[in-house]
Amino acid sequence: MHSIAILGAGMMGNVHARAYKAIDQKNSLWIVDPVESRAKAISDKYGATVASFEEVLGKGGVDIVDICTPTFMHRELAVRALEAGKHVFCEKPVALKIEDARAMDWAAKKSGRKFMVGHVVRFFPQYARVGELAAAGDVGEIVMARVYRGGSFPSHGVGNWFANTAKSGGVFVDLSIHDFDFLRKLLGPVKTVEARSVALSSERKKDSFDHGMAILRFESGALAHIEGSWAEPAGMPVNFGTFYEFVGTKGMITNSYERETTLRLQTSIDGKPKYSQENPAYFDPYTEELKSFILSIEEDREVSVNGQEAIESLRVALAANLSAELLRPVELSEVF
Amino acid sequence: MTKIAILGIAHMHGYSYARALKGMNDIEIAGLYDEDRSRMNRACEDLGIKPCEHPEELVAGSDGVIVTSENSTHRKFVEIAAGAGKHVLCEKPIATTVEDAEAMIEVCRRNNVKLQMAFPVRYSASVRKAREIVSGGLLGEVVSLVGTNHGRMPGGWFIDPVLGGGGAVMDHTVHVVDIVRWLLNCEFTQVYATYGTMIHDIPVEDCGLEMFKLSTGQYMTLDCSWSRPKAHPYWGDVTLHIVGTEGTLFLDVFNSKIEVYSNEKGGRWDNYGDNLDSLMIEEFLKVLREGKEPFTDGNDGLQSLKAVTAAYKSFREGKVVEI
Repeated sequence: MHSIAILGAGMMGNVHARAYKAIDQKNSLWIVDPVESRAKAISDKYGATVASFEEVLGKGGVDIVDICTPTFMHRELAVRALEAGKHVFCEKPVALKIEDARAMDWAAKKSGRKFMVGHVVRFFPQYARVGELAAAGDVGEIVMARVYRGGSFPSHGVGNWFANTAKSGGVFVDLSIHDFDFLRKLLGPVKTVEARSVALSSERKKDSFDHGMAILRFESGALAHIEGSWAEPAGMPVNFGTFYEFVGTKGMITNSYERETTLRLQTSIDGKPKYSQENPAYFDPYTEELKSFILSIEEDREVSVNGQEAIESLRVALAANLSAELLRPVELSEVF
Repeated sequence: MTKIAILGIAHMHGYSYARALKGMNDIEIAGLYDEDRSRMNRACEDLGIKPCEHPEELVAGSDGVIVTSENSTHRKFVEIAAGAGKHVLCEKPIATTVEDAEAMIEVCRRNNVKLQMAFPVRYSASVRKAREIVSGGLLGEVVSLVGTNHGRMPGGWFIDPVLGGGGAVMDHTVHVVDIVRWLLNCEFTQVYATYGTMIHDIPVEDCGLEMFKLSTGQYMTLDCSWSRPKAHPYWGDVTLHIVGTEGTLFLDVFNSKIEVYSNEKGGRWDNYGDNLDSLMIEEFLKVLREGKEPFTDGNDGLQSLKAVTAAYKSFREGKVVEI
């Protein structure tokens, strides 16, 4: 049983609150959010106590701080929580700059508390299975990857912070970082990044817009193509999807969100046509991820995604941004 | 009766073109010439075509010529056809060097001969529809493109650095470059490429990724890899994700498929879509019979080859290069 303070009552705050309750009904939750109505919604739904950040830092009973705020706030909140002796779980991306991420990792080392970053894709079964299959060698050594992750623009951010690249880092740092992290884990260190992106302000498209393409060469010689998109029109029936293709020396593994659906629903209620597709499961990757974090605290083991790993994945995303800015290939060694 | 000569049967597309011709009215395949006599005789037997020892004689007795020899020998055969004043349909890529491609265009021009390039993908109804969607403004302003032309490793002369002129980059860059040039009415201006021999033990690259800049301002990536394993149910793909300010379009040219599961032959995808080779050959017959300008011509072949040779240069130099 733990006492957990969730910072940020947005989309991820809700997902984490539900997960902590699923792990153990007896977990006590605190919710911190400047927007009273959002904090209250989580309080009502999951029995969380509304509090301020100062209050939870001062409470000796609170052992875990879980950061679900916009990215640009991560550093300050994480460092202060670690300094107050809390274990910290931080949503991805760890930060917007390497120096911020280093400060967080350093604070964790100094405090001796656990610090884990939410690269949840590693816990998604269709991705975890790729790691297992690669290890089993059915398709030989994986030498090439194509991954897509995208959908419509995330307009749910408070104050539309995703649209501000100074706050979100754009599509590479906020979204494709999932794939950069997964590919790094699968294929090892990245050597060269060639990337381009188109980020359009709301003047040109309502709700903003961002589309990125990156070509990676790994130290091993493996190649990867990463497409990240916040460019699909808003309000589509299927507003998010992923695709992957991993080519090995003896075969390939591929999957697409268009295929992985167990329910397709079409309704016309009061003359309003609606389509949805779903693949519901009892297994929840977010619960699995947080369970892994809690176990590492209880058994005093290394967390599954530590600060150093998060820094390495952030470096790749920043290298993509740098390449897109300079319009030339960037060596990962240029980003430090 | 329109008589067609086939020069070179090194490329498997030659078989497909010959079969397409045999299904058409008022067509006679005058004969087949190939420098490799055993390959010539085998193909002639398979296809029921007359083998010919002398390409010049064969061309002289024909109305039009199809060249499906190895990439590096296209020039020689196109020159024979042009010298005899016969219109030519030439397999892609046009040649292995820009110099050869320019010489081929020039010899055709000098002899008043039309040079059609075998870019069958551009003849697809889906590609035409995509062009209507883009030019009709349904996507708003197109801002980026992501393309693929995957295939299986073809083996044979395709992996001979001299005869093929390269590997996957040479073989699988030009189709998507050609359709994008047509879709957006643009040229390719810059490229960064990275590639390698990743899967097979062969003397040329089998996987490659390219980042292009277009004259209309957009960037486009292309995956030109021979990365479909033997176990894959289909030979490969040509796809293009077009991202616009108001919408997106995903083009998957060969996705008209049924899935076939055979206890004896395993699983495979069977394409039931329009036969693009036939559509392209019908266009060639219009060039021969009606004097129509080719829909895909020598310049299209040259421009797409320039993108390829620049891609190789980019990898050698490790930087973005001008096309």
